[in-house]
Amino acid sequence: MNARPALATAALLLAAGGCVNLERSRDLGNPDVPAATLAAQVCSNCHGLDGNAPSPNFPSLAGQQKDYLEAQLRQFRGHNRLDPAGFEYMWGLSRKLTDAQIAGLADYFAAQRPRSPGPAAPALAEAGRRIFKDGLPDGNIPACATCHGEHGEGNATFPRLAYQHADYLYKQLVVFQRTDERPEGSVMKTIAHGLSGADMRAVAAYLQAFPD
Amino acid sequence: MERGTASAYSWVRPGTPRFFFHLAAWLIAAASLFSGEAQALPLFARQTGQNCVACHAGGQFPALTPYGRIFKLTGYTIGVRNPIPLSVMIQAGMTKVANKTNGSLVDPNGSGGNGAMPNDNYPRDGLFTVSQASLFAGGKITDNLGLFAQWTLDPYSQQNGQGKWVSHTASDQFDLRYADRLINPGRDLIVGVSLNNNIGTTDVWNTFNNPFQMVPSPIGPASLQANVFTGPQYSPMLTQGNLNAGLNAYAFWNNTVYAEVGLYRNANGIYSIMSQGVSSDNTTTLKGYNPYWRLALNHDWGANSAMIGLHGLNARVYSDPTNASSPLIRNDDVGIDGQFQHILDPHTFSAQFSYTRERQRYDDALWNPNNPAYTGSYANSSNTIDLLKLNATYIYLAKYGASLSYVSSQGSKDAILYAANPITGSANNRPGTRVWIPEVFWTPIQYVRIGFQYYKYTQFMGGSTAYDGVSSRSAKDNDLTFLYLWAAY
Ligand code: HEC
Repeated sequence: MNARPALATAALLLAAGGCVNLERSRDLGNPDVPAATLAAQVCSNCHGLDGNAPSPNFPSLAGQQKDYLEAQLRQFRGHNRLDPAGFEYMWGLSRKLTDAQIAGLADYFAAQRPRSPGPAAPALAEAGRRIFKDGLPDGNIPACATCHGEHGEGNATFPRLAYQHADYLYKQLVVFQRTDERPEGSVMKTIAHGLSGADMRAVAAYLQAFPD
Repeated sequence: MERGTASAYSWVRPGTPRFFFHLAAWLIAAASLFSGEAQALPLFARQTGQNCVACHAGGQFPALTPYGRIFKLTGYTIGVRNPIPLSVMIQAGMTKVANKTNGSLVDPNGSGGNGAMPNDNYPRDGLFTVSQASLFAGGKITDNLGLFAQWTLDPYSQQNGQGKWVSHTASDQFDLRYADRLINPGRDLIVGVSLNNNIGTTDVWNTFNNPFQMVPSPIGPASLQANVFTGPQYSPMLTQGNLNAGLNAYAFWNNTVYAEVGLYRNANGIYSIMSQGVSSDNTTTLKGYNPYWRLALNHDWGANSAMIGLHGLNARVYSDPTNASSPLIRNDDVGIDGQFQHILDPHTFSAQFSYTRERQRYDDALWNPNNPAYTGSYANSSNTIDLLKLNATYIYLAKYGASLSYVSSQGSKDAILYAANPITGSANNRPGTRVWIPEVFWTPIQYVRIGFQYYKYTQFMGGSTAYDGVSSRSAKDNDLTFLYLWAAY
């Protein structure tokens, strides 16, 4: 039995894998790994390399407010955000991130250019547009635009909503309405409380397409 | 696969001191995990800190999500290195065969005339049985290197001369990977090499070398289980649990084109870490280095992911796994497979198919009566097998699921290979078997699964009634019900 090729292979694998590879590391426990590396090697798997998430299961982060991104990452790290998708996916990944890495990741995604994931049915978008721009005066619901911006671009810890996946937005509105799993969103709880399921679908569809 | 003769160190009889030693070792390993971290999640989940649903579609092992595939292809290196890189898994269940009296191996007509119990063909039928316990080790080792290794204890591996069950611990799966990912806005290229012990272990779509039921039916004549192939003539692409040593290289470009090539040889000598506990009788199966290849096209859009692929193997297999100078069987396998997934919380839908055609060519001595070394193993100089598997699964909330599978294996006629024989033989000398497998399952918490499967045979060894050529046994007599419990920590 000639064992040399096998030994050589094993030695090669160990030697090659032995060194730290900061440029292309997926190590979430090493404070030296640059944020841009983590964004490319880890975050991009769900949120997209340019921050436009391919799947509606995951939020797009492109063009998101830096302060909001930082605040959310800290909340995941501190286990303050309790919604299932939040803890199932984000608690673990964020648990060892340093403040500097969090700031770097927020910078990275805030600087990306957001793209709409797809159009919405015109009637639905129109109903959603009215809620976004004017609120529901009968239900005492303020216009979303007052906090989230005329163009849905957000401001500081008010998140950007324009071009976000409708399925993701709808899910968050349900979380606000039915639970206290996003404690920082207490203001959203009151707002979501007055929205019917159809209202939520409409405003979410409008925001995903964001035609104007 | 029938495991050969007992070797002193690896066989343990339940109830003996040595059995309890092994059991204690397992329990200590398990207990050490509980003290590790408050979060009760298996190995990889502890490394990424994520829930099973992140990597497994609908939270169900082993099907992978798009992210789970990247996790594996990047060498299990995402996350924080685990202080206790271990997990345990247990499978238990109860199998019941529809009719176990007609077609006894000892007495084809089931009259019990010579005093033998027809029951002997269906050991532990209708009894609750722990079918396997596994220990996993691995995860992230360095930035580029990661491991997935599994050892499995099978408490009812085999019966000894006195009819007592002996357990057996053996290496099960092994996948040591080195991977790198070159990603920028212009391109995304994942490249890697894997040292592994099983054809299909490296694959991230789990189609061609995997039964579509997560927990296969545990006990009973192997041939009664859907798509289980026994015998030296089948390539390791069709058989499961073959412990070979493979060195593979792969690349995944822009999440679109996947290509992999590998060379497989016997897992003996220096490679024997990958076949620990497997007696050498069962590791001398391949001659030389045997090429394996796989190509796939993948596309992810919205909540959907689709793959269409090709797979193949050219293997030279010894007709006698104990004898490296025995005549050879040449296997040429090629197949097509695909998968569609739709994952949008709370729904997970997936559909898979795999079709593999295997051509077996036998050395002259195996089939030619005029050859002085004639063994009388096959009537033909070559045979074919066509294996088709289909599955559709729906899972709600990563908790409640239902699936339907269909498996058909058809092959050429061979009067010696598929001779008449009680239960496992064929009246028309054909292997044709078709089975439908509906399944329902429930995952109350993410690391426990309870399920029920029904195997409905519409054809068995070439026929539907009196198929075995010696008794009046029908295909439907082999129908199985299987209730199982799966748990991992
Ligand atoms: C008074 C200010 C205010 C108004 C008005 C408001 N929001 Fe918000 N919204 C917030 C804040 C603050 C957050 C961030 C909560 C957090 O940090 O968890 C938020 C978060 C959200 C999110 C979660 C975004 C994400 O990426 O997870 C959605 C969806 C949302 N708002 C939709 C709406 C809609 C639709 C309306 C109008 C019906 C609306 N909001 C009106 C303040 C407001």
